Amino acid sequence: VADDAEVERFRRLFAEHFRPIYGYALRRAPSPEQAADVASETFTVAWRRLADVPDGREGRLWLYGVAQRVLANAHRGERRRDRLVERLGAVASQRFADGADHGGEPGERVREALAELAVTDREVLVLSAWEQLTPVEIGVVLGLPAATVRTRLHRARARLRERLTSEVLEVGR
Amino acid sequence: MNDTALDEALRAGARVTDDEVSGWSLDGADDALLAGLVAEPAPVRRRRGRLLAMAASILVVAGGFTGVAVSGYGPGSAEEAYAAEVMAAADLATRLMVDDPAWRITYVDETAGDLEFRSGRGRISVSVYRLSEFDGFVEDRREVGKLEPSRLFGRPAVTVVEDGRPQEIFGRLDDKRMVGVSFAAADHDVVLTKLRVVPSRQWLDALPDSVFSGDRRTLAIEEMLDGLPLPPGYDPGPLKRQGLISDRYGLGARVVQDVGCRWFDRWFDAQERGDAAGADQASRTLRTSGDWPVMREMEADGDYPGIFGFYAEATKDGRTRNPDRDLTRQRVNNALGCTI
Repeated sequence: VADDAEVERFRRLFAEHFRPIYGYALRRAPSPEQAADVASETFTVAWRRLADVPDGREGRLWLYGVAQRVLANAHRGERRRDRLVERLGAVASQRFADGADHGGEPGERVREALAELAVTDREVLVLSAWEQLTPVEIGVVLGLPAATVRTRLHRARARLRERLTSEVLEVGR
Repeated sequence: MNDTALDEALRAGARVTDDEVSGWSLDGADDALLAGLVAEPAPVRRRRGRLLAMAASILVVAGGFTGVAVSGYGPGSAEEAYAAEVMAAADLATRLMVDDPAWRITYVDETAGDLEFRSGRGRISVSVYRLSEFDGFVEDRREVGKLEPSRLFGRPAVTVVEDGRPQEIFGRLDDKRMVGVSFAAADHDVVLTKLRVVPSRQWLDALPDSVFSGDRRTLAIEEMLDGLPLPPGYDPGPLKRQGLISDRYGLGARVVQDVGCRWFDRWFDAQERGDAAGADQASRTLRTSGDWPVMREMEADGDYPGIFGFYAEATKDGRTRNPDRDLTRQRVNNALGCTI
C-alpha cells in the first residue's frame, strides 16, 4: 500500500506536470483519445517509478522521455483503455470541437512539412518550438549531447524553411 | 523567413498550446484519473541509485525511436562479398570511421545524413550537410562559444569551444559536403586525429546489423511489399537497387512512396482522360492505405501514414478536407515526396 508521503508527492507531481504532458501528447498523437491514453500511461509509469522521478524541472524532462516512449509504442498492440481515460479523451475532443484545434490551412501546411523531416530532426524542432525546451533540455529528453541537438536544430530549421517557402510559393500560384 | 518567423509558423502548426490546455476545464476528468492512479498498487520502492539505470533505459528507447537500434555488428569478414550495387551505393555514401578498434559505428541514417560512433561512454555524432551551409553554422555558433581554427580530414576546420571545452567541429568533407561533429571534450583529439574517410569495403564491414544494407535491405523491402496493392506491371527492381541503408521507418516510407505514388499517378491520369472507372479503382486502392501492414508499423514512429491517408481520402472527390482545396499533383508531391 502506498504511504501518505508517496501519495502526496505524486499529487504534487501530477498537479505540476499533468497538463504539459497531456499537451505534449495532444500535439503528437493522432487523436485526443490516444493522447489521453499516452498521458495516462506516462503517469502510470511515473506512479510505479515514483522513486526514480527527479524533482522540479528535471521531473518534467523525465516525463517527456517516458511519454515519448509510450507514444512510440502506442500503436503496437492493444492497450487497456479504461473509463477514466476515455472520459479524459472525450473532454479534450469536446475542447477541440469548441475550436481549440489549430487545424486551419497554415497549421496543416506546417504539419505536412514537419512530416517530411527525418524523425530525429523533427523531434528536436518541435521540442524546441512547442515545449520551449533549450538544447540542453532537449538533450536530456532525447539522450543526446547539447551540441548534437544544436546541429540538428540548425539543419531541421533550414530544411523546414525550405519546405515551407516552396509550399508558400505553390499556394500563391 | 528568419528563426523567429519559423518558430511562429511552427507554433501555428501545433494543434494546441500548453497555455490553452492549462486553461481548459477538464470537467474533473484529470482529478478522477489521479484518484484512479493512486488507488493502484504502491510504487516500486528502490534506492535512488536506480535513477541512472532508469535514465539509461529511457535513452535506449529514445535511440530506438529516433533511429536505428544498435545490435551487434555486421558481416565483419574480409571475405564478405558485396553486390555491385551495394558497393556502388557505398561509394557515394559518407564513409566515415574512427580509426581505432575501440570505436564502433552505432548509428547510420541515410535520410538525414547522420552517423554516430561509440566507445564505452564516449560518443561522437557526425551530421553531413551541404557545403553551402558552412558559413551559416559558423555564424550561428559565434553566439554560443569561441571559435578556434583546427584541421579535419587534412583541411582547415573550425572547433567550437564552450566554457573552455571543445564541443563541436565543422569541417569540409569534399567540394560539395561538410560535416558537423559533436563530442565530449575528452574526445576532441580522437576526432581530429582518427576520424577519416575509409574505402567502401572497410566501411560496409563495420556497419552494425541494425543497418539495412545488401540482402537484409532487399529482404526487408520484400517483406514490406507483401500486403501492398501493387499496380499492374510494377517492378520492384529499381527500388531494391536504390540507396544503401536506412532505418526501418525511412525504408518503409521509400517503399510506400514507390507503390503509393504510382496509384496517385494512375488516379490523376484517369481523371485527366475522364476515365471514371479507372479513377474509382485507384481511389479505392489508395483509401485502403490505413490497412497496409507497413503503414501500421510506421504509424508508431511518425506521421507519414496519417498524411498519406489524408491525401488518399481526398481522391474520393478531388478535394482535401481541412483545408478545403483541390487535390493536385504538386500537392501530392510536396506532401508525400512523390515525383508524379
